[in-house]
Order: sequence, then structure tokens, then C-alpha cells
Amino acid sequence: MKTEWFGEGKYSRKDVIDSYNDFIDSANSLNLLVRSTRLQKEKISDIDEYIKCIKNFKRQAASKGDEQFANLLFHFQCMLRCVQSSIEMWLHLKDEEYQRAWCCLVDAQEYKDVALKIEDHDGIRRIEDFLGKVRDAIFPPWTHYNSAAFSSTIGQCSICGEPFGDCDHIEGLIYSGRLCRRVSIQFLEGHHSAIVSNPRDRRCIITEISKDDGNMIDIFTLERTGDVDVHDEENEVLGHMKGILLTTVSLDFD
Amino acid sequence: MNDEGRLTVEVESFGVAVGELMADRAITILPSNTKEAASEYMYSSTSMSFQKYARKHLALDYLTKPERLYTQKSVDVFLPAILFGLGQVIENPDLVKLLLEVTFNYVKETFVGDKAPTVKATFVSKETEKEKYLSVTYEGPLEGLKNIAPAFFKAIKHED
Repeated sequence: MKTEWFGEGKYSRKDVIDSYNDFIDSANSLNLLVRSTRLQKEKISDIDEYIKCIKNFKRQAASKGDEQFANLLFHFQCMLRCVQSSIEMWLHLKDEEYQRAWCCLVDAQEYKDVALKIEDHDGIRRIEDFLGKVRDAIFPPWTHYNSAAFSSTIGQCSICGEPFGDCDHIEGLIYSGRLCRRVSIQFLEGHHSAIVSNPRDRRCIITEISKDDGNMIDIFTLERTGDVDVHDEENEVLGHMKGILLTTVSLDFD
Repeated sequence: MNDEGRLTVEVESFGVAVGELMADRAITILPSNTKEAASEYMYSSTSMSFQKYARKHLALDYLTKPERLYTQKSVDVFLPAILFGLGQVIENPDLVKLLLEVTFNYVKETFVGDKAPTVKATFVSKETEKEKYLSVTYEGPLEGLKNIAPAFFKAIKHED
């Protein structure tokens, strides 16, 4: 464990909280487009290391039955992942990887949402406001998304590892600093996809559409990406689109 | 409908298996494809967590043991369809109100998101006529779910 973060010897609850406050401030200071790419990459690695320490403290708190502190540490974990995802978004924007940048923004918002289930304070509301402004200023105003319907196996419980039907844990609730989800699910069959305005997964965007002149254009850049099939007009096809139907993103909620 | 939710009332005939499998209980969690053969049933992806949450407050069980789940991402929370036993709703109207309250609290406690969630929920009551079921589906903001009890009672009494 890095002593620069927590000092030497035994760590009190206050030491951990003070350290977290300093660390997230330093991470937040790099959460801007104009910050050095090198420093941002270093901070992303540092956050991974720091979260390993946080998880260590969390396990200790959980083993002592200190549910409240374990949940507070999970809140720290989610906030750090939120800022980390936001910094990753800036890096992808610098590399003109706009779709990946969008997904990082959604990741950041989802981490923030889970953090909010535990604690609400000015700091988290400032980040929420910041991410909302970034979405509005940087990305196109999405009005439609894809929404898939599919069948799957039941899977296992992320908390106890048992078949999900055999335990008492409930998806969406937090147990000793971990969010309950169904994991190890096998996709069985796709049923349909719909275009909706209020999807469950905002990563499922439409990425390219056809224009009347026969060109496909990228929704992010508005650049041409290729031609559509010239025979479509004869076949009475009104338009084409490309998009993301389903994602299997696994965020760090353990 | 209040809170911009949409309420749909339908009279349906489910597969024969539903009637055969329906145990003598007040509340049953139905598969989302009740017209299929029982071997192909799949339940809404929230069914298992909902059942775990609701069983602390109500006696309820699945029509059959779930083997596969159905995920639909067009609304925030796609709730399982709930079947009331024959006559249960008329004889015990508080049961509907309790179920709605439990459902509301379940979504409130488990939903992860930065806005008020939208939900889709279907409540089914067996008609006295053989193998006919009246289903009332609500789709809209969670807040509106609390207000559908009067519309549900009206529908099952065929008052409109």
C-alpha cells in the first residue's frame, strides 16, 4: 500500500477519509480536456491502484460487520471510477474516438448514480452537473436510441456466487459495499430491437444514418462514411442506419 | 391517466397451461409469454428480485419455476406480470393496494439512475368466464403506478 496516500502504520477511519478527499481532488483537477495527456494517463493508473487499497479497507470493514463504513468506501470507489471514466472520455476525445468517449461518459454517469444510492452531497451534485454540461456541450443531442429485447439464463448472484434463484440478495441493493447484480448470464436469443427515446442503456446509440444523396454519414462528425446501396431507391427503401443494439459493459461494482 | 402514464386494458386468452398450473394462491407471478407452451416460458428479468423483495410482504410465487429471463430495455424497469386469483380482487381490494405499494417501494429502492424511472407493469385478473383473463398494463413514470388501483377495479368490474 502506498504510504504517500495513507501514511505509515495503522490507518484510522479519519485517515482513510482525509486521504480520499485529497486524492479525489487531485483526480478532479485533471478532469478537463486541456490537461496533459501524460498526467491524465498516470492518474488513471493511480486510481486503479488507489481503488485496490479502498477495496482492501472495504473487505476489512465488511469482515468486522461494519456495513456503514464498507458502504462509504464503496461510495468512494464509485466516485473515483466516475472521475476515472470522465478522464478516459477526454483521452478518447483527444484521439477522435468519439463513440468510446460517449460510452465513458455514460460509465461515469452510471458510477455517479450508484454512488448516489449511498451518499448525497454537494461534491457529487457538482460532478453530476459537470457531466450533464459535458454531454450537452460535447456530444450530439441524441433523441433516439436502440433498445434490445432478449432472453437469457438466470445467472449467479454477484454477492454470494450462488445461482440467483437460490439466495435472498436483490439486484440493485448494496450489501457490505457491493452492488448486487446477476452475473455469468448466458445470452440465449434476441427477440427484437426498438427505437426509443428513453432507453435503459444510453450506450445504444445510432452511429450512422443515410442522407437523401445516397451517402452514409457519421452521427458524431457528420463526415461521409460511404455510399448506400444504389438499388435501394428502386426497392422503396427510405433510409439506412447503423447503431449499437446491445452492450455487455461490466462496471466495477464489487 | 395521471403523470403521463398510459393504461391499456385487454381481455386475453392465455395458453391452457396457465389455467392448469395456476395454484390456489392470491398472487402469481406470470411469465412474459403466457401464450407459449409451459416448457418455453420466460419471466421478466426483474421477476426474481421482485419476488425476493415482495415475499417479505405478500404471499406470492411463480406460475412455474423460472429457467430463463426476458430483458426488455425500452423502459427503465420492466416488471413481471402479476395474476390475481379468481375473485381475489373483488373480495380483498386491499390486496391490490398493498401490491402496488410493494411494487412502488421495490422500484424506488432498487432502481439505479439519475431520473425518475419509467416502469411497465401488468396486472391480470381471471374472469369468471372460462379461460378469459383481464389484463391492465401501466406504462409510464413510477409515481403514476400508485394511482392505477381505481382504474384497475373499474376495469375488472366492467364499469366502462
